[in-house]
Amino acid sequence: MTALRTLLTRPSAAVALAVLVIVALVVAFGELIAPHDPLAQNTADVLAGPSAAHWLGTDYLGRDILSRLLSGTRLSVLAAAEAVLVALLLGTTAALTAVFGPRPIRWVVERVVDSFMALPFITFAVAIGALLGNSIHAAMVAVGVLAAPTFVRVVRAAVLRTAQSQYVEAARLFGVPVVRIVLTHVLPRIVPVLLVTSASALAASLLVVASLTFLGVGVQPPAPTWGGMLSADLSYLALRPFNPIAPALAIMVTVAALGILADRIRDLPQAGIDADAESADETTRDTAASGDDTAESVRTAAAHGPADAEPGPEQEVTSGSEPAAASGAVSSGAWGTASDDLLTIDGLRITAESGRPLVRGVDLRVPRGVSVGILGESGSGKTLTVKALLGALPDGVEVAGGSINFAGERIGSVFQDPATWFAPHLTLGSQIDEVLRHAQGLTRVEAAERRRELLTHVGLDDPDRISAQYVHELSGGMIQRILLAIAVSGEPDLLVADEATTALDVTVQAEVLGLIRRLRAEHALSVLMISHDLAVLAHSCEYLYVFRDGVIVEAGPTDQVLRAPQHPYTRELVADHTVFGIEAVRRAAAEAAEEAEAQTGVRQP
Amino acid sequence: MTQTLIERTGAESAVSTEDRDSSAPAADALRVQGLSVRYGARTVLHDVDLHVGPGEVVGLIGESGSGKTSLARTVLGLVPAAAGSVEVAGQRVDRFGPPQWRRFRRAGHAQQVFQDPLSSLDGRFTALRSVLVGTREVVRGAEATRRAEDALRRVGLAERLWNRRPAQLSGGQRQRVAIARAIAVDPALLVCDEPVSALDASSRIEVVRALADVARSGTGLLVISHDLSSLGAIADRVLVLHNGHIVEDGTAAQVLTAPQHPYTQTLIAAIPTIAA
Repeated sequence: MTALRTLLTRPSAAVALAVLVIVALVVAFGELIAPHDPLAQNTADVLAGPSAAHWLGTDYLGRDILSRLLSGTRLSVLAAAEAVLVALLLGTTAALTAVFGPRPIRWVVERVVDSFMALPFITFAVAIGALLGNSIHAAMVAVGVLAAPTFVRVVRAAVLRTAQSQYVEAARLFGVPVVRIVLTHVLPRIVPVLLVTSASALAASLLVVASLTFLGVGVQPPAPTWGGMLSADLSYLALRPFNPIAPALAIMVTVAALGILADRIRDLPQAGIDADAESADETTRDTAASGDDTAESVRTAAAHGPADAEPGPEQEVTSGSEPAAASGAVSSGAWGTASDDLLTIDGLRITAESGRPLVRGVDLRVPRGVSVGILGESGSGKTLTVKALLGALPDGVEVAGGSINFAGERIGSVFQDPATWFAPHLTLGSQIDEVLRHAQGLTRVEAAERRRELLTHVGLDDPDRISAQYVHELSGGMIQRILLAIAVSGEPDLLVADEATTALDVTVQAEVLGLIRRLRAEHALSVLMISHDLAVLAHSCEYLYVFRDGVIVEAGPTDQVLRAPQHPYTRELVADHTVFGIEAVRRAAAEAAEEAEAQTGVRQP
Repeated sequence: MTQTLIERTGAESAVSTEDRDSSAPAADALRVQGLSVRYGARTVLHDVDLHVGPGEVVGLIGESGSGKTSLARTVLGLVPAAAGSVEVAGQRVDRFGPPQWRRFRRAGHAQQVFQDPLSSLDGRFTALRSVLVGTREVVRGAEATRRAEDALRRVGLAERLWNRRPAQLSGGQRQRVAIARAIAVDPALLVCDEPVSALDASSRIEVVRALADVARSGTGLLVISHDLSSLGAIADRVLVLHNGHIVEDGTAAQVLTAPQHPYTQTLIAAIPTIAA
């Protein structure tokens, strides 16, 4: 019901729905409200123009056009609906079978669907009409059968997504029968898809009915239909050029209303076509190499949108006007002096369009040559803070106050899920070259040479073989190495690593963290590392900031935070490691061994 | 190889004559012997042996591609075994055809807890209704509801949260609903696939405690993870799976403190710790 209410707030949807309600009423009561008998001929008054008695005039047999239009609606619309109903039932059943059925049946369904796609509607319907006698029902069933593959394809896609979900797998593990799984988990989810497809199919079907009746298939004169009227009127076009307008309009308006309604239903958030909403905070977007503009205070800007066709990951950092920010006193950290700072973030506030605060006044410093870690859970604001620094905030989220001062020239960055930063259909080498040529103005030959250097530099032997490969052929660790190579290629001052090792196996994570440490030393980099994993940061960073709910709850040198956490939340995170981590097991094992030794005097194996 | 083909019905227990503790009263929750699994020409599991006793928590560690997920899916009958035997709650499930699987599943012998409760729970269902999905296959009507409520209480989910949907629960609460759904049918074996790795650190503790409680009640747990350190706290034994082979098998303390196989040594050395 809320879906209907949302739908009605859109004017176009409301108008379309109103039109369809009127059409439905005419289908039900058209014959009753028709002013004349639609079949009554009046040879004295043929092809008359509009008058008080005949609002739309009369046709070549002197029949009232308005009455024929009103009473012809039922057959035209119901025949179209009949075809859609057949297509809907057949298509949905076939789609469900194609997903949940046994393998041989799935194969058969797919082949049948493919071959039906190849048959032309109207020709097939005419042939069926010829075969089964000139019945509108036979013709519409034929049309419905031919339209079913459209439903199969759309519905199967929707069903597949649900069928592969873990809650369906969980239900299967309980032995819940397939029919019940379909009824409880699957069907409620595909209702919006069915509605949208049915509305579009009904529009198409109306046109098919109009065409068939225009050709005289299925309906014998004198029964009125929209298509039949159009056909008759066209024969007298020279005498009455405006007569075909009424049936044509009826067809057009109904079809248009259905099309608009289908579109608006599809737009509904409740349609759940992407129901599993993610928090805006954690939508990862791309950046790696860097731009080339210098300024004392740097605002990031000009983020590349996700639709950007550029194959390579890149992000420009350009100078811009510093907003008159609520920059208070620089937070006096326990380390270094403010003049050493490469990056200073003061009182940064980020809000959603709805006004909901996401980051609520964050002060953060990255001194030169230092590695700083930001620790936080999803939704803590850590990723948004970094995105604000990179000028890559997602749509609907904006900086509401505070300032970001970057006293360097370039920022390089790497992110989670490295494989998503490469196009799957281009070789890695061509994409790396593209970035190098674009970001550093190298020629094709220079870029290839630099690419070889860079890949070797990050420990990838045989760079030429890797360059010729596609992203799916490499492991996540290798791809992250390539992205690190690109990130440092522009000799950045700051390397941002946002959950850069989160998706990797621990052994690979250790290698990538080792590489970051090495690059940091060799390139004199400052590092800003973001993670939900305390242990990852503990190993790589000298300073830690702990984010929670958009504020910093703890900040300080790493060993101090680990040894004497002040905030209860930090204490909990540290405890998580000391209670459940490997240290806990080692300690417990050591204690157990000692105890056993003390008791028996024998060392336990 | 002795094959105990005794149906486990209700409280009745079957004693395996294998080399287990002779004091063990019930059949092993899981006993896998010489298991190999192939996808086409590719062998993903080679001659794997493992057993999970009643109330025992066995951790299975492996990185991506190690075969750990294939092992779990084979145990649950979602992937066929190419060789070897799989016994769950005393039944040779590797010989099951579809009708036996259906009966076996509807008895609720083996259940799974998935990594991400946001995708393993139907977003349209309340916590209580999600748990009912399972209990309704085993018992009907009020008894199903009673069991579902009982399971939610066992995982410590407050009653006011029972009518909430997954989106209105925290990560830890959601995962406890998923655990409740699994234990409501009183399974002999609970396979947990990365049960805490999608959760924030603060949720992890509550889920680990809930799982430890489940084990105490007699259910055998096979906990699969790529993260050794998260298993240390609950696993009685830890097995390390590498390229489809079990390369290490010992108590959690043995494996974590004195790993024998070079791969396990690499793996443990790679675990980031907060120790200086």
